[in-house]
Amino acid sequence: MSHSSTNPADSWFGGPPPEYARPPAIPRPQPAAHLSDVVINECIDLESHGEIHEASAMLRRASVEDPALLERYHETRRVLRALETGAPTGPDLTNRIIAGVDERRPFLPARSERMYSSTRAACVSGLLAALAVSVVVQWRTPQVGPSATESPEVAVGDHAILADSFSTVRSVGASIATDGHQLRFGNDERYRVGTHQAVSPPHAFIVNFQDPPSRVVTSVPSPHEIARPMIHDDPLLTFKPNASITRTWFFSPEQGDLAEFLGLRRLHPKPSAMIVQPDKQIRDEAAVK
Amino acid sequence: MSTGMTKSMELRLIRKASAGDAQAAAVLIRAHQSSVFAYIKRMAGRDDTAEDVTQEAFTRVLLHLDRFDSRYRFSTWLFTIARRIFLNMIEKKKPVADTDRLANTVWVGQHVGGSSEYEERRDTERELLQQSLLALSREQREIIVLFHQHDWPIWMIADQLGIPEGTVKSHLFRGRMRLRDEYIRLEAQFAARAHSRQEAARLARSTLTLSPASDAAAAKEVCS
Repeated sequence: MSHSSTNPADSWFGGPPPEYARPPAIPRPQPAAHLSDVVINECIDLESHGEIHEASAMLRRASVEDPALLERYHETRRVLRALETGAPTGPDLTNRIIAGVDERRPFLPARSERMYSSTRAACVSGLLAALAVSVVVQWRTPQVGPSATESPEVAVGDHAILADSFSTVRSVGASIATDGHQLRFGNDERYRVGTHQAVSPPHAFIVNFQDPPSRVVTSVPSPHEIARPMIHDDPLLTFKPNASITRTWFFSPEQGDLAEFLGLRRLHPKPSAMIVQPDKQIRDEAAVK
Repeated sequence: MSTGMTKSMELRLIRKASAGDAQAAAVLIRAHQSSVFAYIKRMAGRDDTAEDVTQEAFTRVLLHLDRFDSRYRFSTWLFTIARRIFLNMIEKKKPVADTDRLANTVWVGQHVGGSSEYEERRDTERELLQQSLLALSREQREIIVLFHQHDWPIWMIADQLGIPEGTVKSHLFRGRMRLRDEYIRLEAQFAARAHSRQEAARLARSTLTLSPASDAAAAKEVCS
């Protein structure tokens, strides 16, 4: 059976095929080169994990079999080091970015930032809460004795008597004011005002005036609660000269104990100023508006 | 690339910037802008693209700081946004690699005046590196840049690109080798070009020195 074929491959059976009939040559990677690259890659990985000794040991072993490997490794390292150390630098875009953001959603002006800082917001909310509590307490607690009339003349002079009468003592409290950098207690008593006194509650609020039995506590509503351990570093503990004291409580040892005092202090925020007279062992606290 | 900022400091700044504090926003920008710029510059090969993407990324981040999840790193979030902007940009208009700059870069020792030889060499190497990076595929380039330039670990790169760690390693291997080969090739090409320039300059000089004599010979010929 004759077999005629148009397939040119049939005509060169047994011999080399002509150029046009050869399949296209597929470039394949050199196996040796590929293997050395695997070793190099592994060494770089080891180095990036901090395993320098393992990497160099591996390089030494591999370079015995393939001396060109070392050179290829160094070439690779050189290029990667250039990448690791020479990051491109650009211009400072801060102002452009800030301006761009400000156009779409304006930033707060510097003054407002100060006004609406989180600390201030906390202070304001604390103040409001304290005011609300004090209003409720005053509304619920009946007034003791006659109304607190102002009588500084009576108040000054005899603390023991003052301590006996709540209403009189209250009027004494009303007579306490700051005069320059001194605390004026009626007309005679004057104490040096100390600012930023490092005292810890509740002792800061218990005061002995010369002779027991009176304890004096003065306070005004302020944004901070007594329970907060902020008293040491609170910047609000500053004394304002020439200010009048708006509220005063007096405790005598007989009638006012610590628990009562603390209960009262919990309802009212801590004062914002103090006076101290160390040589007389007198410690007073005066809150001013 | 470290910002030199603790996470708590960064969180405080983010909170402040979110509340409208421009100064806090400025500190955040200054801490991170160079790394975002470097990343995009390596990816795009162009300064203007890197600047645009950096600016846009920061603008978006600062406008949506309230969406930031403090469990993650701020830089990762920023890079994700910058990357998305860059990818959108190349989808719309492919940024052209600035190959002209390579052709115009002068080889070591060819500059007359100006910067020192060391600086010239550094500039050339930087340019060669950038061109070599642009020869890689986008995935290879990105992985190489994040791993070697930004010190990102493999898992983080995998997370960022949404691919398995094994794929990242494979791209890293191929990318390293291709980067090296491309760099060596470009370096050789560059050296050859510089050599031919020097040759041309030498020939021009010698022609100039010969020209008076040849002019005289030509004049003699005309006279005869």
